[in-house]
Amino acid sequence: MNAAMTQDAILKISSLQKRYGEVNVLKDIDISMAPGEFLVLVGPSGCGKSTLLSCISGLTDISSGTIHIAGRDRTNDEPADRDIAMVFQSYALFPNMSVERNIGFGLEVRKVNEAEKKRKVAEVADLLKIEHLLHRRPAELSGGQRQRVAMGRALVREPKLFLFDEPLSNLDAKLRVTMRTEIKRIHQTTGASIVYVTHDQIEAMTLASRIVVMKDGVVQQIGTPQEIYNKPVNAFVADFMGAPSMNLMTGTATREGEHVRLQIPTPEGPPLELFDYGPGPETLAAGDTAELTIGLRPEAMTDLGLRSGGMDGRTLQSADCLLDVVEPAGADTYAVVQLGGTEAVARLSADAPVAAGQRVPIAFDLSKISYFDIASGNRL
Amino acid sequence: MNTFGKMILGSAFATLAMTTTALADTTLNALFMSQAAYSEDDIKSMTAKFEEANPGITVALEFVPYEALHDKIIAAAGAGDDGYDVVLFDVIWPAEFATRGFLQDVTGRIPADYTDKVFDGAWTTVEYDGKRYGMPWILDTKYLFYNTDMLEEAGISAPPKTWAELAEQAKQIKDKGIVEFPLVWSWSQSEAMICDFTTLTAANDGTFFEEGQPAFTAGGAKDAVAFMKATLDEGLTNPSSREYFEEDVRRVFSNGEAAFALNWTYMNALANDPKESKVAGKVKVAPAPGVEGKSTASSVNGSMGLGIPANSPHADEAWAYISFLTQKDVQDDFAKLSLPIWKASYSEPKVVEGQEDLIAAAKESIAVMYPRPLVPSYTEVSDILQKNIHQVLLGQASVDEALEAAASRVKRIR
Amino acid sequence: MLGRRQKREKWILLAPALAVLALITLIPLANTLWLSFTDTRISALPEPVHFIGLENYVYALTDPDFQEALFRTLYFTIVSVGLEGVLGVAVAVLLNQEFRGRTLLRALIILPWAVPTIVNAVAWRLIYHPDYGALNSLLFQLGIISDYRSWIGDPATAMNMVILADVWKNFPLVAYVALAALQTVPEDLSKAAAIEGAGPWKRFCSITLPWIAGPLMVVMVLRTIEAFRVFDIIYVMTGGGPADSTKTASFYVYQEYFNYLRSGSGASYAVLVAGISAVLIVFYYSVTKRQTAGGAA
Repeated sequence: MNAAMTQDAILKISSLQKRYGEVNVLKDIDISMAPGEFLVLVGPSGCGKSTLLSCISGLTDISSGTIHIAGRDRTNDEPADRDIAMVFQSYALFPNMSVERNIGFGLEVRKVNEAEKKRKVAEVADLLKIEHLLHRRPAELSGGQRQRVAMGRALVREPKLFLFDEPLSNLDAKLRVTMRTEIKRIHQTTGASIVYVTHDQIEAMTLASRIVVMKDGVVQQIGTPQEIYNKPVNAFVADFMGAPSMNLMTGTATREGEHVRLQIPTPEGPPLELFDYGPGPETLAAGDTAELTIGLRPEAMTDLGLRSGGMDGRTLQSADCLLDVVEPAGADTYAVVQLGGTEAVARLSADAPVAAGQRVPIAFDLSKISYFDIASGNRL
Repeated sequence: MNTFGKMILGSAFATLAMTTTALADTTLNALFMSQAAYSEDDIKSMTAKFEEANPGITVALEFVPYEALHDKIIAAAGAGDDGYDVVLFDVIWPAEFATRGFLQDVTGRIPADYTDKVFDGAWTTVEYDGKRYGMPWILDTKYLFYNTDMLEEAGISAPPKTWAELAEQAKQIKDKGIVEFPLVWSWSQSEAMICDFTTLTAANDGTFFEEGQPAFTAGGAKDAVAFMKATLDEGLTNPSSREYFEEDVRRVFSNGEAAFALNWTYMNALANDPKESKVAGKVKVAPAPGVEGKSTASSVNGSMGLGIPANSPHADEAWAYISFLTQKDVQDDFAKLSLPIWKASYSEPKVVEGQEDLIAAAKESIAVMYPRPLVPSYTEVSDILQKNIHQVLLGQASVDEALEAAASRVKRIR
Repeated sequence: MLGRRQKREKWILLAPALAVLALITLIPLANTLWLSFTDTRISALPEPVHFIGLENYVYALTDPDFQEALFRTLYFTIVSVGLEGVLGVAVAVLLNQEFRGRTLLRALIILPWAVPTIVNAVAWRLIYHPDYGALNSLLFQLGIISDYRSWIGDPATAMNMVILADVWKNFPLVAYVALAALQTVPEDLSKAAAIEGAGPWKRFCSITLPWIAGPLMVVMVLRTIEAFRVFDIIYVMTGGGPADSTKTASFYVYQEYFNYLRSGSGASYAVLVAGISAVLIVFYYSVTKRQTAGGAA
């Protein structure tokens, strides 16, 4: 973390705590966000992401800590004074007003003059391609159209910070994908600073410039999608992000000179042996053996190298594995292998000639390997 | 006797037994008024005595405020057998009830010698078009009640004989600071106000109708209204009088907050009862004053009678009850709240004792009792007069305007 | 859609209910209407009845007293229902907030409405008494008036005091309906409005009020119908006085029928009162229909 820590941070949350009576819902949150970033708050239900968003907006008071927006301390300010806009999961469009009035409502409240207001609303409607809906009521719009109107209402005031609270959760799968792209395009066009809450990690991965993964009110990791994906800071993040999720297998690692020998138990007999020529678990000293969790994503367990002949024995190693279940999924074939006490998923090519019960060689790409402490789950 | 014969005889006896019981056990529904004149307790005592003397007849008593009496009688007329058997009705209703056929004609039931023994004023209570529709029972009029202490304090030796004198005496009492409003009346927009208006009209020798046309826009009636307004303007009459009924007048007078009051017979006993009144023992009664050159005393006929509704299935028993209640002996026994209709009663010691001044006043007042218009549409006439006179009393219209308006409205009555 | 046989069945099943409805509403209505075109009188004696067309109506509408009564009734209706609406909604907004004792207060608010009209009228009569009423006492002790005065005996104030008593009795109904509607307002709407910068009053006018307009209008129409026909509270409190200043249109129905025994005429007044109520309702509906838009209605 870096440029975001400068004075120019559009959003700076310091030591934020939120308690409801005895229960600590948000614990010591520190987040810094640069202008133009697309920051996604992601995590399972109950992790506190929506509460955090609510605190940023000012709709919820915080128990301690500070919130700075565009360099000004807004910790005790009303939502209306924070120069923010919010898009809700339920769109929260005013049912008794036309689309035009809905979008222009913020301007109306701030007593912007009629001509100016009309112009801005038209601009935003044009951007979102809803100019033909301006005279309709929300009840007459489809889900996707309503979402655009909600975004229009947020955009028209040109606030410093945009807050999105799971805006796509109410849409069907196909529309969700379309709107996701739409949002990304708007972000690119306007360069707006966006804080976005979602429970869908695919949305997080595709939209974010940086992701904040949360669990039980604590920030697990803040990083770019790549960082989160490739170097998850603990087993939870590793498991949560990515679909299908990272395989977390229990095994032993022994540092033997220039490599680390990995032994992953299998139910049918001899353990799977792999050799990591990379740095290996940092805390493992030479000659030591440790039991730990080994993490490999499905795409790091494939049949590609075998077919095309890229096996170099170092980053790519092959070992035979007993396939438990085979799931053809169109573009790939997923094979489930019992490894290290878990059902590890390998991603094989679509036309792989494999069937359940077969013992097949699988190529392991060890450049993408992660190690985690069994007890704490932290990255080693 | 064969079985069939026994059955017939058996049924015959049973039927006879039932019929006899039916004839013997009658319940009469009787409707009375719950304020003024006889108290509810009085009426219950009288009824108990009747029931004792007539085993097999029970009387179910119902008491309603005066204001509800008229409508109840009308409503019950449609109730067939389940209506009332005996009703108390006001002197102003026989015309209406007779033309509508609500009461039974009982002329034939009244013994001929009664006519002379009962006051004429009492008979007008039940008569219409030459027929009688009940027995008079409450012979009532409004008297002038006065507080002897207040008059004495003001140096007045005798109650006024004319209305002008009354106003003067009231002024004296007011000027001496004895009481702020010496006069209190029942001038709410109701029949009670019309009674006062009638008393004054009678005193001023006025009339309501002449040859079927309204005659109250001039003469005695007009003077009456003018007098009422004047006493208000001069601060002699308590302005709250415009909201008061008779019970309010009694309360104010009994509290010692007025020197003079016009009210019915019943107030005499209550105003002199230490349990009900702060001025007990200081209350005397005089006939309502007259007007110089026109009358020596005035009074309104506020009597009431007992009648039998047309749809009653127990006319005979009802008449027995009415006869009992209107008997001289019964009336003499309960003469403290309502005076008897029998001329002879007024020399009976038990009637006179304790209310000598009332009896003396009664003799004068009853003789000059003045009726309100005896027309079938009286209720409507009264309503119109009430509204318009009330406007005068509230200062919303002049006496002429109001009475003219009333007259033209009366002419519109269908 | 329903087949022919099912359509017939539908009517057969509905028939008993429709018959009862006709019996208790249509027949008396038709009877009253017929009565209003005659000169029928209440009498125990047989009397000839004549058909007189619109004569009763002409008589009623050309009577300046009745015309005044109509305006008075209109005044009563508009002011009374208006105040009930404002007070009811205000109380509902209050009861929608979080505060200690809210549940108890919500239960207590029903009390004025639960009191029978007559009892309410008598109670207020006592409060307004010119000699020992609580209102006089309160205002006197607060120094607002220098002397006890008459309230329902003064034509200038009588009607308004009656209106006050009526509003007191009826506002809980409006309050409860408004409260129920308020609780359906989606939280997100208020949040969105707050973020857009709308203060509490603006939020109330632009969002809350339009949202609850639907059910609110229903209860206002109900109250309007009842208010226009007002009779018992006035009969008990003032009897129509002083000087007819509280006499409303329904009095004429009562008067014609019970006091003057003219049932034909009474029926015509009744039809007039009902007819004008209907006009008021239609007017109400069309004006407020624009307000309801996808809200709780």
